[in-house]
Amino acid sequence: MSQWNPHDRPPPHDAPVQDRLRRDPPARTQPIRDVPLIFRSPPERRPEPMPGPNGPIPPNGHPSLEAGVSTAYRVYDEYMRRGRDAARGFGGSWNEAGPLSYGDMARRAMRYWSDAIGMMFDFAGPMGFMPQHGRAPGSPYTHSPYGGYDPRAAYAPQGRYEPPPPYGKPEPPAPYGRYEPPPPRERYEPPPQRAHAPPPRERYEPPPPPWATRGPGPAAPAQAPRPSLEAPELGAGIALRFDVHLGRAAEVRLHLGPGAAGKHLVAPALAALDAQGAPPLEGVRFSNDGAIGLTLQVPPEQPAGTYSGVVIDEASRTPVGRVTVTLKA
Amino acid sequence: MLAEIVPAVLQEYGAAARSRLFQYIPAREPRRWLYDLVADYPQRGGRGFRPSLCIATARAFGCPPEDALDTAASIELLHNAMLVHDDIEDESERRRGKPTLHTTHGIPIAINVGDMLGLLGLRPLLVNFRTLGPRLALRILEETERMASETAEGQAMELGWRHENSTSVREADYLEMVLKKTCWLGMIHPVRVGAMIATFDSVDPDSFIRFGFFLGAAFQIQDDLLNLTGDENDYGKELGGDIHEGKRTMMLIRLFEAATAEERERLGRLLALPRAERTREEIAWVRERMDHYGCIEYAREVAQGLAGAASHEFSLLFGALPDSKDKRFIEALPRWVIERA
Repeated sequence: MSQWNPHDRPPPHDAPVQDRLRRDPPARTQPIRDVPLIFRSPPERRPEPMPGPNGPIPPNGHPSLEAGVSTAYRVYDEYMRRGRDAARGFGGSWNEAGPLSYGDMARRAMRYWSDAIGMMFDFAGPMGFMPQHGRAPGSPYTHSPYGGYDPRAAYAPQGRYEPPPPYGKPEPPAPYGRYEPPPPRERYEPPPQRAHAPPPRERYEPPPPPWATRGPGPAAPAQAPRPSLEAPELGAGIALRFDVHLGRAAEVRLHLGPGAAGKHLVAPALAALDAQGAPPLEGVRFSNDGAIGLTLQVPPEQPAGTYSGVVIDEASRTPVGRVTVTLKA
Repeated sequence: MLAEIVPAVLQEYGAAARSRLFQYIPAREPRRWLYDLVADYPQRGGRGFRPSLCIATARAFGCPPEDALDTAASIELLHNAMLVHDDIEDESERRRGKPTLHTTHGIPIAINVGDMLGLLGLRPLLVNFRTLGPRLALRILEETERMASETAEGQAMELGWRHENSTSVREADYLEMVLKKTCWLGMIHPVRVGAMIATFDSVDPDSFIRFGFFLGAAFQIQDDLLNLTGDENDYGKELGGDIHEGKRTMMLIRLFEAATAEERERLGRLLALPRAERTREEIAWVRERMDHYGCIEYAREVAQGLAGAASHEFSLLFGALPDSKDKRFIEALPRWVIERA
């Protein structure tokens, strides 16, 4: 009697255990979290380990590399799917979920204008156009360009934090209060270009387990392969160098990876690496009409220095290279 | 060569972030019961892994380190805040080689110190409004809020399992918990905000989740392995402490799957006990069963697989960038997380 039948008479209670009616275990005891599983056949049940003379034998010790990585990918996919579902219900600070009413837009516009005018006055103050009434020298409110509270200024008069004596030897003062990048900057040397670069794989595939590579029959004990931790070779990027003369000397270094070919590229504003307080360098434009073109507009007042930023594939918003511009004085 | 760069960069960027962090700790009263204790965990050192990853990512994308330094300090402050609370929740006894804060000063004071560390972690993000501009600073603030939410959700998963003495936790559940609890704060968030700062929020931040997840999961499994097999002085926490705390690690989950019904029952009874009632003999039995069923080797191999996957994701994200010290540092991390002792 393999299936439970309600019309069968149950055996007596003193019947041997193996003759008693048994229900099959429920098909599922946990919620199905893996949605695609609904459309697939259920996984095979893991066999119980057979008991050995000294207790159950250990489960097979084959590497669980493949299983672990595929589980991780599945967890990631499920996590992202749920995240996307949840995100539909929420809007960021800049991108709301639903359309705004005219009233909301008007109120927001008023607030932006109010902020902009407030900032203008705040900038005018330090430049000497506005009196700094009611603010004592050294006040944390004096230094903030937005007229707000400046925590650095608040802490500055009290000096750096020093640990109290009862808690052991005070830490020696750090060599610098502000981070200073190491002065000798390595320049990028483009590697030699190769003829062919394989495209990057979408997903990591762990190396085959040892039993998959072993031949039939009693094979010699093979060394279990370890996963390669070296990144797969993407091939050398396209490295170009331009000397652009814009009334002043400038050096442009452009590094593009293989993924940049045929893409529509954009470059956000380039950050100043060594010019303290310099505004970002904007006006870097790419064109692609078969050949990649780069247009660079440098304002005459842009301070000399090195500016760097990432090059992005506009469609996928993934980084495909970097551009560095050095403006000479 | 790759592995050598990691300690060097961690030392350089970790020191820079710590230096900036201490600028945000006020030197004012009440010192004895608050600010001195706020500085306690950061003063104990630590590797500075999270802030270093943030700075290195920003630099690899072509950004000056100064732009990322306040955000890196914020990450380290928030990390320390969570450590204080985690130690209470886990009833941990040691942190970075010294007694935990709540064991020396009591739980109420430790909770308050953790709260203040969390608040101080927001300060650098407000400074970002001045240095990076309001739009980017707000995006980083949003990212931080998301990271904190994910971390709290992950912690809730783990605490819930222990509260209910759940024995049905599977590997996928564990990995999801690690994704939220460990990976968001430790890896995903630093890489995302580092890239965000460097590119003025122009790259898709979601593309960094997979790299951070695989790297962080390998990191967490290795951390759990060190808790069982490491050197206590190097590790800084009590060996076997995870079993003592009833933490659902990959090795424990594997043991539940591999053990006999009687062993599972004994294991369930042991984990149902209050921490103080779990004896050394019982902990040693769990450890011995883990060895018997190859749970430790199993977890080690999964960690290696995840590290390989992280390397692959690195090549997709950073492969197009020119060679630099920072790129090499990030490239070396997957190997480093599974080889560290």
